[in-house]
Amino acid sequence: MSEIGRLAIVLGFIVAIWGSAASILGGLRRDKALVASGTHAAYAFSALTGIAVLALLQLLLTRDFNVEYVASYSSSTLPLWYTIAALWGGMKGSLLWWTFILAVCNAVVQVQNRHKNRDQMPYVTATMLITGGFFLSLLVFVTDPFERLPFTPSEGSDLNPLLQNYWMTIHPPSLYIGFVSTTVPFAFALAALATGKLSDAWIRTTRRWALFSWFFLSLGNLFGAAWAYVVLGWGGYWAWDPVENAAFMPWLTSSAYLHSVMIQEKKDMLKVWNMVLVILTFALTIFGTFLTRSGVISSVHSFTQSGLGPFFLIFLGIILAVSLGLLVWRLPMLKSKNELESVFSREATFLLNNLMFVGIAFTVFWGTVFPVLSEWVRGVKITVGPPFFNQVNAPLGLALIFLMGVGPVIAWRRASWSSLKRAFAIPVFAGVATGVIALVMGAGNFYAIVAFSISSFALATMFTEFWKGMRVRQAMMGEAPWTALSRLIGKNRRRYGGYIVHVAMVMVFVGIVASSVFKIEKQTGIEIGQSVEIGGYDVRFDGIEDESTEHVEIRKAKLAVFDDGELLGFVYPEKRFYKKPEQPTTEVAIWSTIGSDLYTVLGTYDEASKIGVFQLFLNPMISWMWIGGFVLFLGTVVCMWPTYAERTAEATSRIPAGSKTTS
Amino acid sequence: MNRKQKFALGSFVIVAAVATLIYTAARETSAYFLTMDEYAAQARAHEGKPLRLAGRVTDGSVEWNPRTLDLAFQIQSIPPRPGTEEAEAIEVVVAEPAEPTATLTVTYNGILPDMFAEGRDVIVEGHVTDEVFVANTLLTTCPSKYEAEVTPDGYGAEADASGQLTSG
Repeated sequence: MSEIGRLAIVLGFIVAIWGSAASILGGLRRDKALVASGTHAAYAFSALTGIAVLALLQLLLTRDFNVEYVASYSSSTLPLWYTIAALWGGMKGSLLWWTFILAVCNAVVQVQNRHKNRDQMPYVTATMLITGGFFLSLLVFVTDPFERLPFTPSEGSDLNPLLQNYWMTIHPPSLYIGFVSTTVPFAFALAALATGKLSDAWIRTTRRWALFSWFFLSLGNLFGAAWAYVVLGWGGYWAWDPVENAAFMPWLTSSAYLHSVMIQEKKDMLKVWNMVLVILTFALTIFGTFLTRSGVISSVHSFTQSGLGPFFLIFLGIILAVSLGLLVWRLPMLKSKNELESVFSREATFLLNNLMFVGIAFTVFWGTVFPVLSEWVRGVKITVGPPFFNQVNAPLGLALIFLMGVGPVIAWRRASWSSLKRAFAIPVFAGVATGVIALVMGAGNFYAIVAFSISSFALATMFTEFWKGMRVRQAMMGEAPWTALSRLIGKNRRRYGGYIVHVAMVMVFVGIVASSVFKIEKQTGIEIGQSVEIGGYDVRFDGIEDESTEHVEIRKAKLAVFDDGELLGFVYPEKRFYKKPEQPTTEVAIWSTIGSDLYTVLGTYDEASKIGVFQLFLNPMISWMWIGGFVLFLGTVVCMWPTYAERTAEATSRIPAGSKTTS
Repeated sequence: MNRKQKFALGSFVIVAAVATLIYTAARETSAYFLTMDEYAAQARAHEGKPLRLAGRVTDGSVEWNPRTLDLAFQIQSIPPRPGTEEAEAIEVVVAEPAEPTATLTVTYNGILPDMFAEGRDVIVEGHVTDEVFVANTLLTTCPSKYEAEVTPDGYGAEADASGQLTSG
């Protein structure tokens, strides 16, 4: 099986070279046969990487420990689900997995565009095959996932216990899908530059792809935060670690792009800027992979050091050189026909929004590479910690939420005073009222009050938008409220789906602010039978239970949670001692409500004194982040759902002429 | 001033504001990130200043009081990873590997991180007072860097903790 896998990646690499060469040549010479061959190569590439993934999966499932990868990342007792997750649990597997997702994206793009964008497609195919080929080349020449050992270990060393968590089974795949699918808009942007067909066609073609990759980047980041929160046991979910930053930066630039692209569609402006954002987003995904794979920047978690760093850096250099070179070459063709008219216009708020996103991205980038830069320049390594990122990004984040409240209702081109007053009366009132309420309720933190106030301002804008639209439909069409609302959304999916996503972002933002500003932390020893108060809860230590299985010893504490003397329930934080490899892990237990999370960690337990040492956190409103994630999903689905016009267009293209669709 | 200039000025002001934010935050929150060797070379200069220090927990030096959660241990420099150029260079120069000379006592209060153990590499954040490193953060080598050696008997031996912080 490993021979099949090996053969598949070698063939895949050859096919990628052939396919990209044939595509470029075919594109330049307008040779249809060559272009077709490139397309076939793209399909073959997908099939071959698919075979390689299946081969590795088969090796994992049959527990063939003679294969180094299988021996390193699984064991005979590893549950099925995590055995599958081991596909991306190690570096080699994750590179293969990455290539496979890219290949699938490529195949989908080929099918979608079989009758359109024919001039650009050769370059799209070439870009995607070159990227895929690069990843395969690493597997073929540098780090072979199908490598066999000179001996067969009787047992594998198992997947790291910290990775054996349900979030870990969905976090990496969604992040990879997000990372990889940024290649599609990038490939179309390059194709547009190469062919000089710089109208909005490439933007329309990749609109859904951009949203798709943004969505998975969002989920990947949220899942990563959730994983850190439930597994790492330090009470938080985000530490500005390079690994996290690597996933956050492309999300920021891709968010910026989703906004600025609307300006190009509506006003034919910001063409160069949009190109830059697409290129930057893709480059940042490669840079992120470089960060996590090179060990150049030391991180406290999940860094696999390998010799792959230089390859990624070279590839990154080539990407930037080629794409920026093409961009400069086509600059004269990218002139905007319009320019900004007023600071009080929707265009201007979008521009500001982009400055904020890119500003945050730059801050994160700067903070991440700062140690390396300082070492180059001054010979000493200087690091910046989480306070740096928080200090800079908090005001920028606030500005973004504020703009979120302004953007949707301010007029295009130039807003008049009277229209501003009309549009913002309710949101401003809501914002001020929230600020006052927060102050009265004793939120003594300036930042938090401003943040809540601005969030409420933004939310009020969204709701008035829905409300106004609904009322108009009710009046004009005589529809019932719910019909009016659902039709309103249905007819303007991008707009209202976008607003729903905004609501989700506000929820996540509020969750972040509340949980970081009002967090309570307590480290304390509790004797069995005694209780401790934290943030309104009383926590009673009821005892310790020990369990032992073949490969893990579990020490479980029973904590009773009381609110005002009323027993709410029990939580069971654990300490586990894995026998192979010998490693203790902490299993936190969380009592979660909409208002706050009581987060409990068992430190140690002393038999003699019957005292357990616990770390308790009260994290306000964390669940808002996860609920925000669901709302985000909902909003994105609304955005991406094909419109009526698109569905009928697709349907009529399939149905022979003469027949009619009813609806 | 025409519109274009106004927008240019506005953008410039915003960019300058962000740059100022970055500059001041970097100045206030930055800390030197040193290896034990680098620290030992200029110990006095770093007294009292925010510091991140990478070192290896000395065998037999850990004192841990589970009641008070007070932890004290010694750290020493991390020997170069076997097989690297650095390690070979040292072996050529000194016939016997030199005993690590610089050690420093670290104190910390809190629950022990899962991966903390003698012989492991750690990063501590805090500052030095009276030749004791008072750590407010204790970071241990990370989970998925964890790459156990595969041996014929199966069970992976120790986590490959060495060399992971060499860039420090």
